Parts: sequence; structure tokens; C-alpha cells
Amino acid sequence: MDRLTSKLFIPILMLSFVTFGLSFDRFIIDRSIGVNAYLIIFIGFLITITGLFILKSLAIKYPDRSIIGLGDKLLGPIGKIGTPLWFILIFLLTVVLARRVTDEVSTVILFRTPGLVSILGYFLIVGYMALLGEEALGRLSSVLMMAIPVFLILLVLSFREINFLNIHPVNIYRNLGYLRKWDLWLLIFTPVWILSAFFGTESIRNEFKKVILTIIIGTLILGATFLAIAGVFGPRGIERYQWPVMSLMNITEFASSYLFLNAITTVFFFVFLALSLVTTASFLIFLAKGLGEFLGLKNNQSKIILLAITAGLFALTAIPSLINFLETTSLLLKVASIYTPIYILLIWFSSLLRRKDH
Amino acid sequence: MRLLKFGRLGLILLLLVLCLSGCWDIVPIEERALVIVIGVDKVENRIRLSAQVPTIKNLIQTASNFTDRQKPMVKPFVVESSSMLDAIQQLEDRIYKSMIIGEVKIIIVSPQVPRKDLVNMLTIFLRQPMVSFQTLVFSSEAKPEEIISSESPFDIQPGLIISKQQRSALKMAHSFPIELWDFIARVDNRTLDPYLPVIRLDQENKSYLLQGINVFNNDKIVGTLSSDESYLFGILTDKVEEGYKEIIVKGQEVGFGKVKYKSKIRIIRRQNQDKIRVDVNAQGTLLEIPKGFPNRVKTYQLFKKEMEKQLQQQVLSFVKKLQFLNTDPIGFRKQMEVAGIKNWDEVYPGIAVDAKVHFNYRNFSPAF
Repeated sequence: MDRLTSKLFIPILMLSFVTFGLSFDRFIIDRSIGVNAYLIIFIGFLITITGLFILKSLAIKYPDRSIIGLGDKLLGPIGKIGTPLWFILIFLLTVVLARRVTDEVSTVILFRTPGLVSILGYFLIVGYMALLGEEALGRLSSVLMMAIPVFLILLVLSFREINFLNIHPVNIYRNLGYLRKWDLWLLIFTPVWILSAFFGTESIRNEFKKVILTIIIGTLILGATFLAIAGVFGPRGIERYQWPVMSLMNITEFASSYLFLNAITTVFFFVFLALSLVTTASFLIFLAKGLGEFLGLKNNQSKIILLAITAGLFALTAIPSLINFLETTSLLLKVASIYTPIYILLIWFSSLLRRKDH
Repeated sequence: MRLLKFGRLGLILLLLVLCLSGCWDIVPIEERALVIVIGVDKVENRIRLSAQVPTIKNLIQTASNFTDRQKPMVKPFVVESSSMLDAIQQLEDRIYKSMIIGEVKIIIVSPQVPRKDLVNMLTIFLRQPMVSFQTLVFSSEAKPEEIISSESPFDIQPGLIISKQQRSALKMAHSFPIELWDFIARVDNRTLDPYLPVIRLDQENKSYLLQGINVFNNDKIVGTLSSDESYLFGILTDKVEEGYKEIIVKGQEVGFGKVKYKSKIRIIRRQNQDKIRVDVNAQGTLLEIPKGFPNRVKTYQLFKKEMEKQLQQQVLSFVKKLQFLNTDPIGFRKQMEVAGIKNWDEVYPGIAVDAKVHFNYRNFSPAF
């Protein structure tokens, strides 16, 4: 089992975390939440930090085993069903993520390019990135980390459009709907759970503070993003937009001249695409390597599995209609975001009942 | 490794082929009808859509043998239909070029467009993937097609002139831009009312006059602000960046330049009565001093006092006009909502208003 050092793992973690927040923005901004969307991120943060402590205790107790191996060892027959089910959910989550990204690309930028071609191009790049392995992906992510400060600059520019009355503190207690939205607390933290459990055991064991700091920075970035969206579009206005972050960038002015009208959107598009590619590739590696480990396959066989999974992802992203996605996405996101923490908690509980593995 | 090398090469080739698909159906710029200004009107229950299409060849700025400055730079088109989408299609059917409606920079709406249609029409533009959310929206006094059909005396495409003129920070005194997304967001949120700057044709100078504002109650036009009232709107929304201001002292005009304003709106809640409190801080340079006023400190003090007094009266009467029209493009209702006034919508027209203006001289004039 290959593990990433913190220098390679933290960039992947950061980029994937931010991507989830930017991709599933529409689902975080729920009707019942109003302008308080940014608050649910902080609730999710507290739960996830607790989860990281659990993962740390597992990493210390079982230093040579991955989460897949632990599921098999500690849960027994439940693990035999639970792990494949986890793979299926993450596979479907990757499909939804890829579809969100490629739909956005097709709608906002490449509107004359057939959707099938966008999806094919997307998965060719993702497949290639995943084929090079997690170490290469980690190195690429280290370079692409510069996209985060670029995004921050765009975000700060968008603050000029905020009407601060929309995010006045009175809104916090006036609309408490966000407290009921348990599924949204965890949605954008799903990559943190998955990637930390699979790639990050070494980093969690040795560089726990750095991992926590990464999550804190990511949470602040996403919190500020949702704060800006709520402040700009207002409590009722936020429901109008299919991709609220892209819409926020669309209304942000770099300069008042018409020549710069879409400059921010264009820069954001490249940032977002880079982050999405890394995230999808990291999920693809998780699926291929995890499945390979679960089935006890050799490294070469894992590569064939990776190609098969990429083909499967492409097919499942390209074939279903828009209606199919509208019908299933919300439920799938709920199930996938809650299943991962529950499965990890289950492994942890089982570990408490067993003696240390020598 | 060999498989990986072949895979890498194949991937690069495949991506190049995918990029080539963009060249397959490319439409050169001369073959595109880039609609930059579009007018929306309603006449006898039918939508009247007008579009200003630049003639690209005559639009090119650089000196060229192919450029004929005498020929018109734009070609107007006007169509009528029962629905907005059909009107857009009607336009497509009349232009031999490929029409790119996504390049629209200016939308001019006639006051004749009924309330129920206005937001629907504008959101159609917002839903067009290519149309910028930052597209400027105007209200015309007469038919938008008159503005669309007019020729500009400048060597720049008229739509771009309007955009430049409206967005210029130094000109923001009697007209203020509103972008498409902002108009729609204001209607969506139902607290801060939208407004539309008024555009007119200046026949004498063959130019565009951007003066005055049409104000709304949610999506319904309820009145028009004159250029002076628009200036007060700019003061209360901190939109006036470098304005002039004239007051009358002892029957004579006293003028200030480079006047900047900073306003603060508060809701004061008392047991017996809630109140809107407007505080305006202004800074400016004295430019126009009438004859007979000596160069003394007392004169400066007198002008300062008069400026504060007169501006306060103007602000008060302006806010009262807004209350009378039951429109709030400033944000009083949002402040009332935040302050905890539950039925802010009903209370707003009758709530008491208090204003306080504080004026300071920004710097000396170079000459007295």
C-alpha cells in the first residue's frame, strides 16, 4: 500500500476539499438555509475534526494497514459488504462530481462543444493523471496549489459587491433551518474523510497539526465564499443560480471597462477546472487502488482496473439525461456523505473492542 | 512503461483532435451579427424587439483601406412578436449573419413593458449562457428603437459609448448604472427596490443623455426621479464620486466641486415611535463664490452652514418622496428588517425620517 508524505498529501487534500465546496455549491445553498449557508460549513468542520482524531487513533494502532484492510480485518463479513458498497457510493459520487464540472464547462464556456466531447476530454485527462499514480498527482497538486491564492484574490474582489445587510448577524438566529440540514454539514467534507482515511494515514500520524491547519484554511476559504454569495445575491436571490460560485465570479468586476467584463470568470474557470481534475483523479486512484487491495490484485492488474473504472465513469457520466441527474443527485450526495463517516466510525468502534495488532 | 508512453502520445493526439472540433464550425467575426444593444418594448400586447448590429467592416478602429468612415457603423433591426423567444427568432430570420445575442452589453426597456412581463423578459437574457451578468439595463423615455436606430457622431460603436459613459466613475452624478443581475436580485429579495437609469436621445448634439432614474416598487415602475433627485439618490447610496453641488445663499449661487459623500442610515427604535435617521458627511472644494462675499472665515462658515441646512432639507424631501411613491432603492426597508420591525413593508411609507448633514471643506481652491 503506497502512502503519501504530508508534502504530497496536503496539496491533494486542500484542492479536493475546496473543489467539493465549489462544485456542490448549489446543494449547500439550500432554500431553508437562507443566507446562513456559510454556518453549516463550520458545523461540518467540527464533526470532521472529530473524525480526524478517530482516523489518527486508527493510524497509530494499525500503522501498516489501510482503511480497506482494516475494514476487512475488523468488520469481517460486514466489511466484505461494507467496503464494496463504499466503493460503489464513491464511484457514483465521482460521476456526480464529473457531471457537475462538465455541465458547468458545457454551459458557461464551451457551449458549442457537444457534452460527450467535454466529458471524454475530461476523463482522458483524469485517467492519465490517475495512471501516473498518487505521487505524481501529489507533485502536480503542489504546483496547482498556486490556484488557491489566485482564487482568494478573485474572492476578495467579489467582496466589493456584498450588501452587508444580507449577512447581518440577525440572520443567524432568525433562520435556524440550517441546523436541521445534517446531510449538508458533511457533504463538502467527504473528500477529507476519504482521502485522509486512504492516502493520509502517515500524514495524520506524523503531521496531524498540518492536516488540521489545512482543513481550517479550507473551511475559512469556503466559508468566506458562501458568505460572499449570500451577501451578493441575498436570501431569495441565491436560489436562482445553478452554479452560485461561477455566478459570483460572473458579477465580479476586475475593472469597469467592458474589455474586462468576463476576465474574472475566465480566470476562475481555469482555477476550478484544475482543482476538479485533481479531485476526480484522486478519487479515481482511491477507487482503483482500494478495489485492487480489496480483491488482492497486483499493481499491474490495478492499472487495468483503473482503466476499466475510468471507462465506467465516462459511460455513467455521459449516458444519463439531465432529468436522471436531477432525480438522483440529491439523494446520492446525502447517502455518500453520511456513509463514509459511519463506515469509518464502525471500523473505529470495532478497533476499540480488539487488542492492538502486532 | 511502453504502454504508458503510447498512452501519453495517444492522449495528446486525441486532445488535439478534440480541440480541432472547435475549428470545424468556426464563424469568422465578419460573419457574426454581434448584437450589442437591444431594446425591449410592448406595443398593443405584442413584444417589439429592436437590435443594433454593428457592421464589423466599418467598425474597425485602425486606419485601413477597407474601412469606410462614411458608411454607417450599425444597422438597426426591429421585429414584433407575441413572445420574447419568438421575437429573438424573428431577428435571427432577418439577419444573414450568425446572430450572437450573447454579446449584448446594453438592454433598453420601454416603460410600456408591463410589470408582469418585465422580470420574465430580463431573466431570459440572464439565462442565456453567453450574456454577461454585468450587462447594463436602462429605461427609455420613448421607444427604445429610436435610440437603437440613431447614429453616433463618434468613431466608436454606439452601444459601447453608452456603456463607457454610464460606467465612468467621474460622471456619476445624475445617472447610476444597474447591472442585469442586480436588478433581478433586487426583485428576488423584495426589500431593496430596483431602479433603472433613464436614457434619452440628445437630438441637438447627436448624443445620448443619461439623466434621471425610474424607480420601482418591486417589479412595478412607480415614478421617475429628476436629475437633481437622482443626485440625492447617489448621495444616499454613496455612488456620487466627484460631484458638483450648488446652493443658493442670499439669492446668489454658491458652487462646490469634487464633492464626496458618505452616508449612514440607521433605524432608531423608541417605544412610541420608530424613526429612520440619515447621516450624511460631505466634503468639497468651494468653486463658485458670488460677488459681494468677502474672503473671510465668516464667509466660509456661512457657506458651510447653508450647505448643511439646504442639503438636509433636500435629503428629507427626497426620502419623503420615496416614501410617498412607496419605493426604496436606498435600503431603508432592509435596515428596518434588520432592526426587527416585522411589518417593515407596511410601516415604511409612514415612518418618521430625520436627517443630519455635516459638511467640511476638502481643500482650498487655487484662487479666490
